[in-house]
Amino acid sequence: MAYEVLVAEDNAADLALLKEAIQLEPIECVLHVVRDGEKALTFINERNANVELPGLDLVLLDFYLPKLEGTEVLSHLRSTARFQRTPVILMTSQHPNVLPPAVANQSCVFYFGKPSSLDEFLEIGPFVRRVLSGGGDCSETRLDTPESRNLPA
Amino acid sequence: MSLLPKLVGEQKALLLLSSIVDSSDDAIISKDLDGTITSWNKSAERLFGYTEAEAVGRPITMLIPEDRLQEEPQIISRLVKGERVDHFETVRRRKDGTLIQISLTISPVHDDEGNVIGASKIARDTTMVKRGERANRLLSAIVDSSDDAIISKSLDGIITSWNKSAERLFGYTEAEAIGKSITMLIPEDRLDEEPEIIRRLRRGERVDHFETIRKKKDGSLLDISLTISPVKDANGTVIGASKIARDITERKKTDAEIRRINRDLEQFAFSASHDLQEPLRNVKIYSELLTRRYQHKLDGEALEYLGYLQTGASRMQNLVRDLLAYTRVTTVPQSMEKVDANEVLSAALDGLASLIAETGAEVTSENLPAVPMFDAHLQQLFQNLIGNALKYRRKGVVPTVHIACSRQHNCCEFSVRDNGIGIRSKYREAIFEIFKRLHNDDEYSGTGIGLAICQRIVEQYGGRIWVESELGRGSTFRFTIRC
Repeated sequence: MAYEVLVAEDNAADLALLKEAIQLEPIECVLHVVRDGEKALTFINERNANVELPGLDLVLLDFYLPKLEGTEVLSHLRSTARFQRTPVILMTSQHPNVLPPAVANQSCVFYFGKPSSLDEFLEIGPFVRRVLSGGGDCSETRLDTPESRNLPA
Repeated sequence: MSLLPKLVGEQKALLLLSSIVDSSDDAIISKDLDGTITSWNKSAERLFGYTEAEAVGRPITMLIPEDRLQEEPQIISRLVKGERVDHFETVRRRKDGTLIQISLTISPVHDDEGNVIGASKIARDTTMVKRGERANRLLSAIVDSSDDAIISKSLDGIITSWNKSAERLFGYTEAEAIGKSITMLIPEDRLDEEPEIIRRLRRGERVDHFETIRKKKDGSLLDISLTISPVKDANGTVIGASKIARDITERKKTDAEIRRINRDLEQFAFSASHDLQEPLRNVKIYSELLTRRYQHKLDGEALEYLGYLQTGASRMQNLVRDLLAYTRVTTVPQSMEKVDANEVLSAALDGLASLIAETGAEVTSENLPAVPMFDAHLQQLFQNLIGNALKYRRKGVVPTVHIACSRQHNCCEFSVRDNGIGIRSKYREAIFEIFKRLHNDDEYSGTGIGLAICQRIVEQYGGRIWVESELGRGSTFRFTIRC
């Protein structure tokens, strides 16, 4: 069965790379792409309200989103009944030290610093695969520090 | 029989009188009603410069300046009526022509029948007194015209003087303030300042530019800078204090404004350089992707252009990264914990490990002290300076870098010495300017920000950075940090 993944990313170039990196992985994903924070909220609400719809296995969240920032989307996600423990990969070019504590202290939140070389950027693919194969329960793999980029294979 | 002892007695009295007259500090002169001098004591000689022989028999007017000659007839007319002239302040001329201020007391001299036959004059030099009075008037004018509040108080804190600016600053008139306790100016939460100030004053110490807050008559608060000095009596005992209070409200406002503008600028630079990173990342990654995927479809020229695109993007990325680092060097707190510079140095060398291996450099260091700095700042200093030492190495020479530190009286002076290409003396200051470079990117790559960051860091700690260099032999960068 394919993984259900929400991708909230406004930068088209990053989005294309992201899709490419995930497609290179031997996993099957359905990517639901939204391009701003509000649309992310709408999508989350829809899925939360309707249990007939599939859940979410992962949210790939850009830190700086138009309309609503990634942190706001994240706290909304955690306020729902359905997605309290859904893994989230927060993507940002911001140094993790400057992330607000509200984000850094969340469980099931992983950090991916957007790198500036092609090969490093493509590592997001294996990263996504590792998080997804950890299953819905991320308590054992909880990593909210920058080291999360180097998750054990 | 009885006559002789009486005469002796009179002679004795005369002698006594004459010795009193001679030993007086005041000039004592007598004259007849024509104004001819008839006697002249030692002090008259000292005061006016004429000897007794030169003065007796001469007219008294020789002592009177021309513009005061009309005084003499007035004095004579009063004397004739038997009146005394008491403490008449005037000016007289000395033998050498200089003028002196004197106070004159003139009494009529009578004969046995009570007729006025002359006058005795006692003249006191008041030049010094006048000078003192003038100085006093001048001082009090200065005190009154000062923009600073100038207040004096006794050691038990009672206000003893209060100038115009004190009135303007604190709102109390002189009459309202004098005799009151100085604590009426001190806000309740600062009342403990006064005993400490008094303690220091008693020890004869001065309190300089103490920035605090005081309360005005209307209850509003005022930012002031206080300078308090002990006032001593002739024996050197502290009997009170003079306080000079300057209104620093405006300065405080300006300071806060400057801090706010600086913060805004830092925030702006941070955001700008941060937001620049994202599009740059895209340019760089996609030109990489293009090169990699379409290499076989592109001709040599197209690939060359792509190369320039990538180099440009990389350079810009470095610039943005360094600018971010530059803006992150912000205000350092007053008190800092010390970090062991040896540990910081070894962290910096870890960061430079690949460059050190690549260049085969020999990096040595002496035992370094602990300094009150953020370790990230010190590490950046080491990394930039040692990085430069390795980058600007001489061809065909094994690069050596030596890090040392010497303790000066209140600071530590670090040095990073290399055997590199050196720097021409005319550039030794310019190299610290932001974006300033001496080489093009083909010779030595760089952003021109590294040394500007070093200077900014060092200056945040109240230190200084400079370079000593011999062209073709090497450079020694030195910086000081208070420790």
